[in-house]
Amino acid sequence: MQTGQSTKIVLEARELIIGYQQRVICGPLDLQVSAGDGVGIIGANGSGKSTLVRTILGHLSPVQGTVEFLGLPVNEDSLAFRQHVAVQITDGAFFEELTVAEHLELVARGHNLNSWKQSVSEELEFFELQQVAGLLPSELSSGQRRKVLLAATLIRPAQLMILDEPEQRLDLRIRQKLYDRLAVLRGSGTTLLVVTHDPQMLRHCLNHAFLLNEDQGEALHSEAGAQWLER
Amino acid sequence: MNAREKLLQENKFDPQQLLNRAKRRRNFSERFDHFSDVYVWVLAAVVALAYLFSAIFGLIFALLGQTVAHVQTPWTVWSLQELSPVLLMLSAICVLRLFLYLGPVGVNAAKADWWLPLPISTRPILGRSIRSALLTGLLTSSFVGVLWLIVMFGLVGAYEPLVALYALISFALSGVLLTSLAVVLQSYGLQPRAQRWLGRCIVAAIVVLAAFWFLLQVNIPWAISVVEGASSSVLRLSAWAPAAIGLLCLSVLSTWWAWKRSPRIGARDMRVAGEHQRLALGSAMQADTRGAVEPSSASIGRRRRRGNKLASRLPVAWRILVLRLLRGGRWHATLGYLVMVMALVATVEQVANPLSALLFYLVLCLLLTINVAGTISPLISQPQLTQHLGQSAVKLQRTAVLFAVFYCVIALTTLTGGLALLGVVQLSNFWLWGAAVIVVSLGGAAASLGHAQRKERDWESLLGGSTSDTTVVMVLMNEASTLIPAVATYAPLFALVLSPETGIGWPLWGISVLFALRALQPFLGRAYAGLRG
Repeated sequence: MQTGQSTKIVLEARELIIGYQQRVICGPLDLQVSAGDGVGIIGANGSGKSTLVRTILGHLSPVQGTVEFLGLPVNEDSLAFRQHVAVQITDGAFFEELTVAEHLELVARGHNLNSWKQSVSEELEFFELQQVAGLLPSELSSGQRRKVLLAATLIRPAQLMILDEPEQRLDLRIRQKLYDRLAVLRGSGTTLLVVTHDPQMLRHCLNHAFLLNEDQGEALHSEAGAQWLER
Repeated sequence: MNAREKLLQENKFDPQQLLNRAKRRRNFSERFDHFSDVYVWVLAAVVALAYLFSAIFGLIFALLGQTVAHVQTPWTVWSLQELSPVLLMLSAICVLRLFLYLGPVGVNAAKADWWLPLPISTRPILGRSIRSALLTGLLTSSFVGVLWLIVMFGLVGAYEPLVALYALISFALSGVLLTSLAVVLQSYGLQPRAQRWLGRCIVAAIVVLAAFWFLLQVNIPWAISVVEGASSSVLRLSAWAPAAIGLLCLSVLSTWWAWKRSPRIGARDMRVAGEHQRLALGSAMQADTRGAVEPSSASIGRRRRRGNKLASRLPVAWRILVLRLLRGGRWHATLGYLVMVMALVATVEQVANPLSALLFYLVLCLLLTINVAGTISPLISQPQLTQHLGQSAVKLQRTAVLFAVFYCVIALTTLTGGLALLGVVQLSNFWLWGAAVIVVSLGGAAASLGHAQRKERDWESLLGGSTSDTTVVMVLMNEASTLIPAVATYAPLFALVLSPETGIGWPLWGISVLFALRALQPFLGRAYAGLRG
């Protein structure tokens, strides 16, 4: 499946069968994502969306097939992969002793951002977290923790951004702000791969959908994907 | 590394400095809280160790049947002390297996989510993780060594400080050696294969033991001298001093090798190892084995066809239990234990005595409770099953109780029959034995129900919470309130083992039936509630 028109392939999965050890969840899947594309991974609960993301990230070994990032097999230990791929997974763990701002500082300094203080303050402002910047994760609500995870993903530069249901637990206004920002990011060349259940996200900031249905993957236009979610 | 990778530069930032900064920021009250948490845990560990040492001496006392007469079986060939070299080897294998399961190089969930994806050098992360693994290995092996020395000095009845010192140093160094070997194996991704090989080593040790038993049985002189030589050297300074020097050299070499290989350990391995470490720590803190010893999905997959024919004819709830028992291999522990008991009683001097028989029943009681609870837990603790299976919760509980009673009757009958065949217990009061086994099985079923109803707890919050010590104490109290009644129901059996001629007093029957009654709750319904007042 070719989802993008441009020639530079950022991510490519070939004959990919995903699962846990030898237990097959879904596949074989073929997926090509070009630079600047926005692909929404959609499907029913249990169809393998999160498993696909974990396989693409190298957290799980494919049962069969290959996944390549910029023409090389996915390897989360490779420096290039860590520099260029930003990931937000469903529910991340937190350091109990670090504040919200320090979590963001960790990512910003880890990516060697020169003006990390300014970046941290911008993200806190964008996600309206200034009031809780000095609080510990245990003092946050689940929605605020979700915002911190998203801020940590967006604070750093990335060629490919992988998000797992980023809309979950966000209020509508922040959700809209997030979609606007993702659309701008995609416009500036960042590739997006997003697991989502929200048709509005597909319409607003993505241009393709990849439907996981009955153990197969099907490439759709984002509008068709949005309609599938609304059916 | 490809050309593009070479052009990229790792950031030298060490995220640990943020955690250190957070630690420095703590005020007096927070520091005191932290100190008191550590203090309580250390105190608890010291108290637990004191109890453990007493339990070990009790175990030796019972196994040697002090003050009671023992039976000499025709197959008895060696003493407990002569088995100690095998125990040494098995303990080393167990420590290595444990560290292969633990990684041993792993990071906790927060570090896995926040540190591993950063484009920074992984050297500091790996370095800290390896140091922590080596320290844990050193302490674990030293702990095993202390236990082993207590057993040995207890058996010999004498204490030699210099031997103890050298032996302890050797155990500590062997811990470092085994942990660094585990790091090397982890770097090659060979943990599953190594674990399989270690399993085979245990089987090989058992085969060698069986071969030596045969050779001693037919009085082969060289075999006798090998066994005597090995058993007498285990508490000699001339054996431990060179061992300590050899282990020092080996541990230095293996640590260097582990350090050289460690950059090959990938993020995924560290993440998985961190998850295993969390499970093991949670299991240890809550005395709950479910996290660590649940059958793996791989082993269940291998046994996928087992029990198909048998289970297809059974009602659905029974089918679930039988398949969990067969495919999960949940009967292995009970069978393994029964075989080990019979082998010990038949071949080791003095073990064939009523006190050790009592000890074997006691251990079987705890084993059956944990074992059966693991099998029946879905029927007891998953309310959604009632909808899936279209059966009421009470009906599922009844099936679970019947299964538990059936399983306990088989295990207890096997143990009693085996001990009777070896002459350790007399079945002169056959009907009393039968009644005792039934009541005790009901008690075992009641305890299994209680154990199976334990809820999964969030170990992360338990470990990190400010009241973690109190919570853990509550959990352990709950567990004790399940296991102590289970042991109490064994009173009639204990009476029959220790005094087969006098029978069982009515107070003992009363205690046993009282605690066994809970198993009948799903059958008696309101009548049971009335009985409880």
